[in-house]
Amino acid sequence: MFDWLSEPFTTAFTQNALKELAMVSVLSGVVGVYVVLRGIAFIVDGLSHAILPGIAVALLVGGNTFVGAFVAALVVTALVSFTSRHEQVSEDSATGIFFTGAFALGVILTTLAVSNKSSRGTSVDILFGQLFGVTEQDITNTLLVGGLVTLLFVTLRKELLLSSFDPSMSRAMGYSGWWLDLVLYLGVALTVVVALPAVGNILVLAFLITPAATARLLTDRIYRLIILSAVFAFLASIIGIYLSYYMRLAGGASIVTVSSLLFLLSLAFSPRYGWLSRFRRKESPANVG
Amino acid sequence: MWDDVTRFLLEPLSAPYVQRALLEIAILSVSVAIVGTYVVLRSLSFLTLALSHAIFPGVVLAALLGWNMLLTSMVVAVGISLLIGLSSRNSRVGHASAIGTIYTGAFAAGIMLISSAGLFRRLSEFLFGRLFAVGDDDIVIAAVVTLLALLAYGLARKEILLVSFDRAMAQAQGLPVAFLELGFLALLSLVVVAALPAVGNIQTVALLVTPPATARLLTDRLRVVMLLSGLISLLGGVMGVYLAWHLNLVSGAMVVLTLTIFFLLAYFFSPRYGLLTRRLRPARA
Repeated sequence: MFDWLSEPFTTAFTQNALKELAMVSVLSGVVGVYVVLRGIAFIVDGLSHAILPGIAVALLVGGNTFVGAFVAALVVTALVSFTSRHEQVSEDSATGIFFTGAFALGVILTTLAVSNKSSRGTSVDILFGQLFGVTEQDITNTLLVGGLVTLLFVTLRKELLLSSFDPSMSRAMGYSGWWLDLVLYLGVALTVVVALPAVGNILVLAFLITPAATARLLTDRIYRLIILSAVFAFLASIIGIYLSYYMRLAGGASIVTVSSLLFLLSLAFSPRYGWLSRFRRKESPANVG
Repeated sequence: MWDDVTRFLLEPLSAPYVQRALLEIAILSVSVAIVGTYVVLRSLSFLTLALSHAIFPGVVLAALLGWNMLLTSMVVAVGISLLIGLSSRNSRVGHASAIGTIYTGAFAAGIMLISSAGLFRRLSEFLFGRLFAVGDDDIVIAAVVTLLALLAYGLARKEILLVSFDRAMAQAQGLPVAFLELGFLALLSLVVVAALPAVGNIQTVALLVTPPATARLLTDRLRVVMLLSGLISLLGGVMGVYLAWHLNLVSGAMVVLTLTIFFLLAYFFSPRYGLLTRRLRPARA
């Protein structure tokens, strides 16, 4: 009777997708929460687009795409933080400029790499990932790198939290601002790179912020926030896999659409911070004070 | 040698599609300069990026059902702006996360739609633009939007500026602040939609942000920034088209890359604000 529930998970490629998404969901909680708390969605978005030239170069010279993406992320982050120190250039503009510039370079290089027969994959695969094409190697990568990032973020949880909520207090207590920033961006860059084969570099932003933004509408406690984000990310992943399996829709896009719907639901109906409950509280005189 | 130069310059021009691409770029440089200058001054890059991605389902719907692309995208853009506004007013979400969450969701919905309709082969055209295949209707849309932008600038230049920089002051002067904000947002969406065929929806933000940001490194005066950014996007557009044609590369990406290089040149060598020019200039006593 419940065959339709288990049927999608009988093949190796859907099982691989599920394993990969489970690990990315954990990262979505551990790393994504800080992205939302600090409101750095644009920089993260820029970072995830800007790794395209790194992947393209790796495909062209036959190097490791993982290393290529990571180097590109470092270079673009350095360019943004360096140029935005100029008083005529805002961080907002610098992010917009270098993310599109790097992306354009990536598009041109990918076209070269794809027309060059020696390479595998196309630019569309890089942009949207191939959820059902996740390999054992990808899973091992995610397990190792994701485990490392999780360990790092759990060890530094107090410092990261303090610097997100109260940067000046954090500095006064002797935690240097820039190396905590560096740790956070490193975590973000590594998450983006490991999530890439499954969800692609355009929609990876949704994995990093949407579940955390959804959870933030429901709880104030940091540990619950992290756990809830991971749960929401995984829930959206499972529903997305069903949608894409039964209706033949693009995998990553289905997951992100479901994830956004969960966000809108929580925005409307969250008991404490939802639109509806605030509206009702305003209306009912019993709740005044 | 001169023969080579003239051939380099004239050969592409004989192709009608190159002429159309150049015309499209020339028309767009006017509207992106006007709107882009405000985008840079108000730090609205992320919102611009979000709008250009979020109208994607509108573009797909229009292509699927044969609706008017401009109108459908505008309706989607208005819906998306409302959703972003609504969710960023909830202090738990915050501005940046609201923009990011809503736009990735809309974009993903567009991809889902495209995958269900078997339009996947046209995906790269939506994403990266088709500068060498712009049609007459694209050029007409760009021209109409540019006229609207010029009209809005002529009528409400001072008002938009005041609302952008000093909301309280604008309110005190009795300006219709909400109307002006919405009007600016509508104009921004129109320009984003008009620029889509040229550079595609991932890179539209470059056309709006990179030229004014480059101009700001060269001058402080608002009107000169606007004028210069128009010239910069025109020059970058023409150079990008020529490079793409001669090297046989993706045209929209080539334009964006040229503009990025202009920015870097201005960043290092601008007479007044350049990094290197400042270093080389002897310190004044």
